[in-house]
Amino acid sequence: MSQGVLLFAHSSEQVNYGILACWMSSRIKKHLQKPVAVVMDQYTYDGLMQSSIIPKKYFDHIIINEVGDLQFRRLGDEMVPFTNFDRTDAYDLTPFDETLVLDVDIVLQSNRLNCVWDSNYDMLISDDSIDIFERDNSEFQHLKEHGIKFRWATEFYFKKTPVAENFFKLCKSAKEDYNWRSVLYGFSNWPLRNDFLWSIAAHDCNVEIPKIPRKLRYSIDRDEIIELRENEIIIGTQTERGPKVLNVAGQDIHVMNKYELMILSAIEIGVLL
Amino acid sequence: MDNIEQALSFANYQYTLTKERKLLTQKFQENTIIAYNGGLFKITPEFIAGLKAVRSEWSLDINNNPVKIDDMDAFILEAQLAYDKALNEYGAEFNALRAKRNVKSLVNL
Repeated sequence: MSQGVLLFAHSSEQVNYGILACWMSSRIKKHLQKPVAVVMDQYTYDGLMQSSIIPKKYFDHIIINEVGDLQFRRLGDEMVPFTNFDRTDAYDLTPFDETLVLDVDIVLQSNRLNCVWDSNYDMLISDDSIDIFERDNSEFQHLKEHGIKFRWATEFYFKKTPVAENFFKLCKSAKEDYNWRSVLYGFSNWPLRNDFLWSIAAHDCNVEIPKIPRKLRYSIDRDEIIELRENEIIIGTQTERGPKVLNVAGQDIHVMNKYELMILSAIEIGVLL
Repeated sequence: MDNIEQALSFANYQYTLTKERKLLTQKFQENTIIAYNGGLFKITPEFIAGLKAVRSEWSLDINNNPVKIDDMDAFILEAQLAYDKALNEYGAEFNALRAKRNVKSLVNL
């Protein structure tokens, strides 16, 4: 049974997801010691080559997949384009029998995710999360108040089994009916969020999908990365009671401030932006 | 952050200490979960004692799924080692945190 990590990287003018994926891959090799496959479009691939990065140095498998449509989302004070339409194709695209899909903005600082391999479970997904500054995170608990449970598409594990295949079919079905689903479950129909697709599919599939046994720690896009070191990250934020700073060491964290993460990750892998 | 010194001067020592302690607790909780024979197990002293007392061929994992344990002694040993390692790390890091007297040292800046 082959095992590996699958990443998705589709760069925009503002955020170079290709570089984030290279950096993420180097962290995966260090902490998880697993092969890495990346799904990227030609624009992202060419962008890496223009930055004098040889993608084959970082990835064991490179899957070119054109995704077309762009969406926009808020990052800090700006609306930036991004695309995320092919995550629902993870089952079809992965070259591995057992796949761990990770966002490229997870700062990997431990090997905890290695507990998923050789699992008896067809799928493991994240549904429990915690903001490191402990702000209100109700938006990551349920799709709306008293609505269906929120699941993250940020990190998940699956095996090539009928159960996992069915889950991805449900995700695709929810994507096709996104407008209707948004009315049904009470969330905004724009932009399309994979987390919502995962939540709907997990709700619809009628079997309890076990969770990755940890809380997904995260910091939001307004938080600032003060330092990114080999095994720790220092993050600052503004609160009503003034600025606060925290150090997250030896633990993985999902960092939503992609701008700063991109700059610091480029420095870490020795790339000039 | 434009002015880190300014931020640190405002940052509350107690706030940071509490949050850093919580992060250490979460880390300990995560480090006491092990994978064995395809199951995921949360290791606690009670769990280890239960394994020793019952000595069944099966054990329930965190999702209450039964997992066949082929070698119970090896499983108990692995569980004990994982718990010891996690607790030792937690203890050492918790003590190190207590010794830090300002925000700057708490966050290793």
